[in-house]
Amino acid sequence: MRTSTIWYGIMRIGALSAALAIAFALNLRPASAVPSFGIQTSQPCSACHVGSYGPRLKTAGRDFKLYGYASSDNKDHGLPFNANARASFTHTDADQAGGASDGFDVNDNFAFDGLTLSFAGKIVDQVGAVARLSYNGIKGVWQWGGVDIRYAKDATWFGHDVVFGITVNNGPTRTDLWESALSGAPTASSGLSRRPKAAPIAGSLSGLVAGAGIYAMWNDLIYLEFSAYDGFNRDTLNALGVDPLNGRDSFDGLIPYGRIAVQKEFDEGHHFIELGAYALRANVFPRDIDTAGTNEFLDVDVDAMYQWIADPSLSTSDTFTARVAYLHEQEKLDASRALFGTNAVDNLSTWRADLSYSVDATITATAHYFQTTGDNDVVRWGTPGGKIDTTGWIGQLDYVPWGKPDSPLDWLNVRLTLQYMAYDEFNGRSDNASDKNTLLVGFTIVGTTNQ
Amino acid sequence: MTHATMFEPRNVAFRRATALVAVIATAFSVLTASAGLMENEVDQKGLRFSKASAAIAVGGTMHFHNGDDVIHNIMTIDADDEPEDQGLQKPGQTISTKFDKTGTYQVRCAIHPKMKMTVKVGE
Repeated sequence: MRTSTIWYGIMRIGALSAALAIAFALNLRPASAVPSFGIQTSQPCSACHVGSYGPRLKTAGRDFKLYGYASSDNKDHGLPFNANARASFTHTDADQAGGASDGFDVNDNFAFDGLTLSFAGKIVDQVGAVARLSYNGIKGVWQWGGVDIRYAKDATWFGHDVVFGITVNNGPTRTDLWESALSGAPTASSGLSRRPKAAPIAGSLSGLVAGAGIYAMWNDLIYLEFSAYDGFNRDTLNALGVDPLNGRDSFDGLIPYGRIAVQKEFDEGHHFIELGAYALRANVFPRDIDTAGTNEFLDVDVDAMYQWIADPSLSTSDTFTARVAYLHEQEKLDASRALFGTNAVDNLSTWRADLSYSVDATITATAHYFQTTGDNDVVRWGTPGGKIDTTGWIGQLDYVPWGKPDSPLDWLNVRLTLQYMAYDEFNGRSDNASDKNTLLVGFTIVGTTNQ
Repeated sequence: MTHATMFEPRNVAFRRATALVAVIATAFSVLTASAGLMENEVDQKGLRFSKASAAIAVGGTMHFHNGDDVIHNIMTIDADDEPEDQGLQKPGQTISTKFDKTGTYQVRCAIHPKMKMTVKVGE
């Protein structure tokens, strides 16, 4: 290895450490577009992302992540830092009493949603990372967001290729290649719209924990991952600027996370399917009280994805993606029952499904269905009858003019979003659920320093 | 003698001639393969090589043609695991690589790590 290569690697590790140090000192939320990856690989955004913009991945994007963000065109492009700025207009069907958030009107708000700074790229051969630091424009705070540092290597096992890797990250499902978590909104959301009370713990741990794991993909067919996470204590979270789970909860012991998936490409890349499942268990001290035992949360998810690409040789080809995920959470609330009188056991289930069609990797239409159902628990939720059931739809249209092979600037991309979120039921109530319906017009711009 | 029977000898001769041509063609291809092709072509399309493996003679040239709309790379890796970067390929571009030593080489795209094939270079 040449001396200059070693120094270059050390310089990148130093830059990543600095970014992480700043991130730990502050606190953040995910942003998806990382054009530094495009510069590193000489690829347009459309090569890896559906609709030329993150987070939805195509085969090349999934492989890039699997191989540890370290694939490159073997050229030196400089340090891979990105900046992503987001602004929006939000309208809800009914005014939000007291304002949509501190400093905002009861309705029809323009907002600077935030700025995300990220390091995203290769560090040394077979090692790469994504580390994000965000300014939340709604809350007016800096937050640390998605961190995923990976080592990956391929070999041959039982006559077939196997890719195996190690990951250090700050959230279960962050490592996923198929977006199994399926968050409530497809690719855009506003901090000014109302959110339902209940959500599974698997989707709530990002930034509250840190852990390490191992993964392997055998024969481009079977994927296995196992990770273990530990929760930060309240002082650390305060230092990071992160709100603890449910405002005050803390974790007891390690949080194991396991993932299995089977994937297959057909017809020379025209068709792709994935079937998978994951499980996670977390023990929680409610309100950080450790005198009555813990609550135990067990999440089990099953999910599937189908993707069709009209012409796999064209990164701008039309793409259809269908995804569905079901998650069941069993909540043994021994501590909460003893301390506050909640139910002894609650069950929570979520369905998520979406269909999207991307035309010329420029205009992408998405229809998303979400449903949350669970046991009534008056003491725990504080809603009428203790109900938490929530059902709704999201329709979204994204326009991304750049990020394609013939785009004028390969280091810059923008996205315009028009989204409408409609609730049929909100926290168990149907009569006024539509009051929370939200129209969002969003704009994001992202650029990178590496050239 | 029926009409069909009348033409049978000519039919047999045609079959024999066809079989002879097939034998000659097969023998030619076997001889060519054992001697090794001096040139061979592979397409890169849909982020995959069109062949999982290809054979070529010592001193022969492999032509790698980028049929995708994104940039590819050609890396040749010898039996000692020594990589040699053949450079980047713009869409539509062909990289021609000469193989001067016998052995089995792995060919990969550094950008798309799943793209791989082998080239067998023989006498």
